[in-house]
Amino acid sequence: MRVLLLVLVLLVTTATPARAHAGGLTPQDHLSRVTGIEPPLPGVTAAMVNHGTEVEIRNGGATPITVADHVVAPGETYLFRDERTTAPRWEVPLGTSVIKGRVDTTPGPNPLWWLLITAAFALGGYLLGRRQALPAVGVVVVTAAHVWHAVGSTLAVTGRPFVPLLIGASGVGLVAWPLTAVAVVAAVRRRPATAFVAAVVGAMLVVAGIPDVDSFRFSQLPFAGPGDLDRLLVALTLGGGLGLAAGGFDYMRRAGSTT
Amino acid sequence: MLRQGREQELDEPAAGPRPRAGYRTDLITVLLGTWFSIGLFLDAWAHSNVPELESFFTPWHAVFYSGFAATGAWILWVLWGNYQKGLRGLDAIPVGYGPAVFALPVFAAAGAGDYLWHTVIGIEQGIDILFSPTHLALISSMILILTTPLRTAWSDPAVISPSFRQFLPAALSLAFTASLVLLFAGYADATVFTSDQVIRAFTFEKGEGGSGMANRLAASIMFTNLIMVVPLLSAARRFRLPFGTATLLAVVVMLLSTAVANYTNMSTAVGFVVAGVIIDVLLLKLRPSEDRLKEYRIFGAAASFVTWAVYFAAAGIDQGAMPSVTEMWTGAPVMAALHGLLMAVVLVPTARR
Repeated sequence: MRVLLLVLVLLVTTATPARAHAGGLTPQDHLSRVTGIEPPLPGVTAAMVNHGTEVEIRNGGATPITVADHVVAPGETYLFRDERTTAPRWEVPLGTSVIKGRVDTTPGPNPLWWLLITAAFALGGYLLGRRQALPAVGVVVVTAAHVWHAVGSTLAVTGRPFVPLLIGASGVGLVAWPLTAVAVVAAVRRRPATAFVAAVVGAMLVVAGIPDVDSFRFSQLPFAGPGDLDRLLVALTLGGGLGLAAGGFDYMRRAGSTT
Repeated sequence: MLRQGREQELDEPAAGPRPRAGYRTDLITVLLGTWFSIGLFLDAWAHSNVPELESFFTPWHAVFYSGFAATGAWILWVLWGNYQKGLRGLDAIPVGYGPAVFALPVFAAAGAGDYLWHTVIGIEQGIDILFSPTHLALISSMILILTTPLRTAWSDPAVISPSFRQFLPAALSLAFTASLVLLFAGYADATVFTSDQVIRAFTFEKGEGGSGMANRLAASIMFTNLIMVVPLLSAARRFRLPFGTATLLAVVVMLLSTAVANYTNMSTAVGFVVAGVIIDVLLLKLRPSEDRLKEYRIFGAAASFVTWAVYFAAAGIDQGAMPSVTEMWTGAPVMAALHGLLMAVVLVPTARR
């Protein structure tokens, strides 16, 4: 058991983070926005997408329009990066007009509160994890939180196919998510494997959640939904996963010592 | 483990206190290892063919690391099963699994390091990918994990002349290990050359004394030959290898090399698989082993010669012409054969007396 625990602890504390923020987007305090096109072009719209990293031009007009050395045909949507959009107030030429925008900065929340919430979830996960069948409930809840976070992060990305992005965002979720079904089946059949699967899934989801700790200290999160909801999902994934891992292994240790 | 004449499906006690993994356990271990090897092949393809890798968190990295997570979970499950049977400490680790148990956290730490490396220093897209310290730690620990079924078979004195099915976990283990070693020798990998490149490399004006491409192909042939033939020579010392082992090795290595070359080297890949079948016939006929020293050395030379003779034949058939410098395409298989012979002599210097 010591070897088992040692390997698991090393895996949890050192394993590669499988960040759930898709498409290389990261939490930050600033966000670039388009304020308008001046003078306006009929049918043409501009917006910052992908967490303020790319400009999206939709040409709904009748004539082609040139931006960033690219001709956007009528009916075409074009995405491009432009370093100028990182300035506090910026302008990018769009045909005979300019796209105007600005970068808004909003201070992030106090991360201590979110760490406390994470600790509370960890305690709850631990208490569930050291029971015989209840860990499966915890596994379902924590996995659901991770899936929601991964899907929400993927939906925040524009202009790229959904499935590859979700696979990239899921990381070790590719294993942890299906194992949740195994945990439920094991719990229904009252198998001691429930604790093992709960511990392993919990540990994997901690690994999956570690890079998202940044969500606790930045105001702008690449997530299709309210920032606080994403923080709650991250806290649940991290704290719940840690608690389930600890509780599950505690259960296994106690069960093993009686054999 | 499986042995000659009968099949053992369940984990069983070894001679010492540590149990020996059963066939099913080893097969699952190597199949999960295959999962994360394929993830690495996909990643190698992406590094070679996707021009803008902006994020560490790509689908192919997800396949790679989830494969590792699945392998890690499986090995923990095996340990826990033994723990439940009352085995404690190192005694819970099956024979041959110790290096994998050590490698799991090493791999994880290297993965974390690789994430930091990619984030802070950048994402490699050239030869530097093969020299990144975190990548070297990842590949070393991967090889320790992947070779687990081979160690199980090697450590079992009852396994002498296994059938192909019985040897499958160890054979896959051997094949994926060879492919990973070749992946990290990408700067000298002859399998990724297209038939056109093979012909052009050894087509030059003799007065010019060669070309950069000729030098690269010649070096690649010698390096790739060693990576392909040494696993077979090593395994032939210990086992009477079943028919199919060499073909499986070629197929797995070609899975990697075609991905890296973005499937432009298909005729080359077909040549390697054909050579694999011929090498299997050599294994069948020669039965090379430590005790059959002459056959062992002939096998070392012949397997190498066949591989590269077929390599040039495949290129010639596909292009409808052979390279213009006859000495190069006729001499390279002979040089490879001499290297194969040398390896056989080094691995078994003399007969056991």
